[in-house]
Amino acid sequence: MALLVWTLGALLVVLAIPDPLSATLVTVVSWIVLVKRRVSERQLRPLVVGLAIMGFVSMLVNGVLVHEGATVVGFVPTWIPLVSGPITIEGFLQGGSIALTLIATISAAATLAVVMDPTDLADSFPRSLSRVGAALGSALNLAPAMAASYRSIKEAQQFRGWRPRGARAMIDIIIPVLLGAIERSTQLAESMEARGFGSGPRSQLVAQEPTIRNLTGAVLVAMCGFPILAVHLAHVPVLWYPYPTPSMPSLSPLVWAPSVLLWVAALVIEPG
Amino acid sequence: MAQKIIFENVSYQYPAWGGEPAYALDRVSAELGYGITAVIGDSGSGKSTLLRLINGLIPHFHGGDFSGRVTVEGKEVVTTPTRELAKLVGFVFQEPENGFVRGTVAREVAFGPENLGFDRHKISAQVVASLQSVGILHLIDRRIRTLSGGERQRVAVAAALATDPATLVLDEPMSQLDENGARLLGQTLTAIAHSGTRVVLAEHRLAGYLQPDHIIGMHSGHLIEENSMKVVVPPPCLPPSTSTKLVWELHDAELSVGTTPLLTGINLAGREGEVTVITGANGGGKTTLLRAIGGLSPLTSGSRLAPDVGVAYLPQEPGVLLHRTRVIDEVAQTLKWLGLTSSPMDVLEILDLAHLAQRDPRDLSGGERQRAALAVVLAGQPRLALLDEPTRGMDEQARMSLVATLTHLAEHGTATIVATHDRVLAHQLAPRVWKISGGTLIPEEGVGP
Repeated sequence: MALLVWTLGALLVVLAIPDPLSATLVTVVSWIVLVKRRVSERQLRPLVVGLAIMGFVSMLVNGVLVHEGATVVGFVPTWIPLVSGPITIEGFLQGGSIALTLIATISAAATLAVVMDPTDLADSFPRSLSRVGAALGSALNLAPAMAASYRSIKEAQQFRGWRPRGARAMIDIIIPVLLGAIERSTQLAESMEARGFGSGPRSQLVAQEPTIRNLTGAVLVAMCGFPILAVHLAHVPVLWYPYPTPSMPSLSPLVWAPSVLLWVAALVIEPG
Repeated sequence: MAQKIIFENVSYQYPAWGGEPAYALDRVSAELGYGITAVIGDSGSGKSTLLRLINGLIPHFHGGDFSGRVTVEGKEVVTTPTRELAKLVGFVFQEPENGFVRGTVAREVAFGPENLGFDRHKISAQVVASLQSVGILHLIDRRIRTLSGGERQRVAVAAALATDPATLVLDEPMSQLDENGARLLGQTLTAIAHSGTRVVLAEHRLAGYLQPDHIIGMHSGHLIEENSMKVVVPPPCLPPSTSTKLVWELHDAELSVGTTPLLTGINLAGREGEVTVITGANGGGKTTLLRAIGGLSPLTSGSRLAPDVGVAYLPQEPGVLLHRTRVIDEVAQTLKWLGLTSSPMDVLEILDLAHLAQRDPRDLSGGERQRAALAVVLAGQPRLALLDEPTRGMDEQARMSLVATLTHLAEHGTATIVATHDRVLAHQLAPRVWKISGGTLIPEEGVGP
């Protein structure tokens, strides 16, 4: 439960304060959480590669398409439609800022998505909410099941002569995947019903009794709400723009306080 | 007085979604006492429907038109919700992989006892005991997605046993099990029946694995007189291929996942019209080998020869092939994709499936779905056919029909590879089969049922 609360808190901080400093702090602490949870290198490698590609593409696209900013470093010739115009340092910096926010969001979400199997989500909830957890975990489990079903159906259809020729051909894969998902969810519901789900108070093989450390961590995460609220009430600028010339991001304690609280919470919460 | 399961003049129709309503059960009356009751009958005869009445999934979950009366341990099914009946009845589904709720074996088996509020120590003890009774305690910490089909089926049986039910209902629990698994399950069910749990199961593969105390025969939704298990073992009927033309080959093949070798030193080939049978324990690598021959799993080393086109592949789960509303439309789609002008009805007639042409695949029984999926993949008269557990859920008649189909294909030059744990089928198809053991192939002569 503590990890779930932490992840939700981190997402809230990134979305409420998309400032580069705050995003950087959240990204770093998210990766500390991933490493603390001993996530294997094999699982992390595609995430790192994906984030690096995304960051590079974001900077490149913004740098080439946005012609604002005072520091011109080159020109796209006028005979190239849509992108012609000056290339500025500020354009790249804005692309980097957007990328930082996206990387922070994905890194924060990864602390839950990579660390925890959706079917184990039930274990994250306290006993009183275990029924909600079990239902949510089962529902989320349909996503990987759909991915597996997509692969199986594509393989089976290819042997029957299907070829991926354009978007129209994909209908022969996507519709069966969706129909299969409906069928599977019906069978899942039937199985849960037959196994007494909802018949009364549940117990748990692995009970999540809240510990002092995890409770303290959850409280620290909840406290992030105060500086976030204060930032918005005090109209502290949380959106950083490098135009027309780059400036320093806001150094107001209200901007970086939520990230610091997340850091402390990450250190307090048990590694699991 | 011992409680019983009593069916009194029960009739039932599934909801008819635009189709013609038909009775799945028609005026059925029966009493099930203690011991093992086997429900036998052809595919589509109403066995699964009868089983679902015992825990109230019919009519509570499926809806439809129900009449008559069913009582389980004195509780009337119509007025007792399924989730309440779950305290009395454990249920194992025909396709258990679609009903798994949790990620690991231990948590999946614990799910039922958790729902019924068992205390933590009892849940833990029940998980260990039920996994032990089906011989898979060593899998307790494994993720379910890493298990083979047979291993998953055993997890489902363990999960049903874990709630310590008064009645255990199993819908074709042996359909994916290897010989040892089926024998072990037979022994387990006999033991739990002796300990006082009533066992009711529908199964085509009982002979040799389990001796039921009572037999209920079913045909077209009616109960029929049946007092013995039929064991039909026809002699091997496929003549050896006389062709010298190689269709497929694996040479010094090795396949690993990461650093773990799954298959090593595989040398195997097949000629036109030749049927190759691969057997082995659940999780032994039969599917992996089949996928390697079909090019779905790349070899780590060695070489592979197989046709680029004209390869048919029947996966273990027939549902991935059946999405349209009529069986004939699925067959027509294969012919269209392959650019063939044959009539889909002719294909179904050759495979003795013309009677299923207009049926919706979702309304078919497990065995019928398997046969429909076979028709879909074999429609183009392939050069190479790869069939993964093709007799899953099939009755004796359907098995005979499958052998006839494979004979027809062999006569027309198709090389076929069948991965199966079904020794009767292996006996019918080939005098020599290949067994996967420890990642390598061992020839087995004179395989008999």
